[in-house]
Amino acid sequence: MARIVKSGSPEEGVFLTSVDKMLKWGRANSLWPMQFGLACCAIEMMATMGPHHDIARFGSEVFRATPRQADLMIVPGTVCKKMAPRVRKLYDQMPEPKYVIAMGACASCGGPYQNSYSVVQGVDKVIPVDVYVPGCPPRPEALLDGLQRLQEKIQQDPEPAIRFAKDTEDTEELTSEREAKQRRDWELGPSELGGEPA
Amino acid sequence: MSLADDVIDTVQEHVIEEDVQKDKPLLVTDPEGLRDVMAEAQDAGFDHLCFVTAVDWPKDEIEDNAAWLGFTEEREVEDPDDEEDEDATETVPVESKGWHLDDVDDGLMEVVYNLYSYDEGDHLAVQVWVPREVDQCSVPTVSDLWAGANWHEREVFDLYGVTFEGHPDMKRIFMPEDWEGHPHRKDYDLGEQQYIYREDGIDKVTKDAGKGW
Repeated sequence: MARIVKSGSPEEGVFLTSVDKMLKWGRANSLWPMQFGLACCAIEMMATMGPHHDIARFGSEVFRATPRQADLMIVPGTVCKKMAPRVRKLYDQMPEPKYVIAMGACASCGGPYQNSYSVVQGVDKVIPVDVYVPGCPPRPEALLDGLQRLQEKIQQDPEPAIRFAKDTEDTEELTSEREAKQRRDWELGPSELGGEPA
Repeated sequence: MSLADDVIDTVQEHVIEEDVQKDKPLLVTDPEGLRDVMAEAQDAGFDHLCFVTAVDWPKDEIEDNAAWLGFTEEREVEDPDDEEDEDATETVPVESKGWHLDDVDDGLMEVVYNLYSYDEGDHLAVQVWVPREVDQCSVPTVSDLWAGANWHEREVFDLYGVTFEGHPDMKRIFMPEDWEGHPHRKDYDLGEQQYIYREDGIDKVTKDAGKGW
């Protein structure tokens, strides 16, 4: 990312980079997850927070109890139909830029609750997902791997790091644009939420 | 003598069957006798209602498990036509759980109450078998005896469609109020999905996948 400056040169102690890269680097290494859990995956998420696995090594130890201070929504567990509107509301309350990890089989695709009367078949029907972590539940190592992959994804994002949202309307536009892009990325096809992929 | 035996002796007139399953006493009664049995059980010292639940038995499943449920019995044929075959048996329908298999139309709903006594550590299970048709599937409430039964009965109503007569607030507890059907019934249609969305602070149901989740 930075140009390497040889030791002893007059430029020593100076790194040259672009604002864009620096922002993305900072963003990727201080992902603040939202503190909420839906099912047994949340227990593994809590273990990931603990001293043994120590998610703080990757800059994500600050679990925020409010969506307004969080960048990352880890969806740990089964999203039932009653919870889906609430998950969507929490996601909408998070400020941009925001990222989502679907943790475990249930959040990724419904898991063991196939054809259930009460379970949403994957949280990607409700909110756009960046990284899917398989497992039932995934071990803390798997979640950490998912987090690192998200960090790579953020650093390699071709979009500029700074985008200005002038007012609320623009923010909503940004969100829908983002969802369309993510759908394109994952080749999900037309969403069940309505609307064609961009 | 355990508390459960006391109860069974006292309400003998309402006991249709008694049994011991997994070291725990069980009695089967009918909807008319349920209130007396439960009031007696509470007086005897069963101060905790662990849970209320139900088991759905459509007719074909009762027929498949008829012998196990006690609706049929193997008997030796008294006068075998073939005299050499003296051990011949025949399957005879018998009354069980207060029901004769011929009187069952659509099937039966087994409503189960599990009682516990904190002082004695005793268990007692009480079963009531009622018709499973939604309009006839009804038992009296025990929510005035154990306040905790209130939500248990609402749950059984929500998921199994059993109505509890005399319940102060007989409405769904988990699913939105306009949800169609009772999901834990064996004939619940999983092919037609229902979706939930929020409107004016209330959960609403739609069959349009684009409108809810």
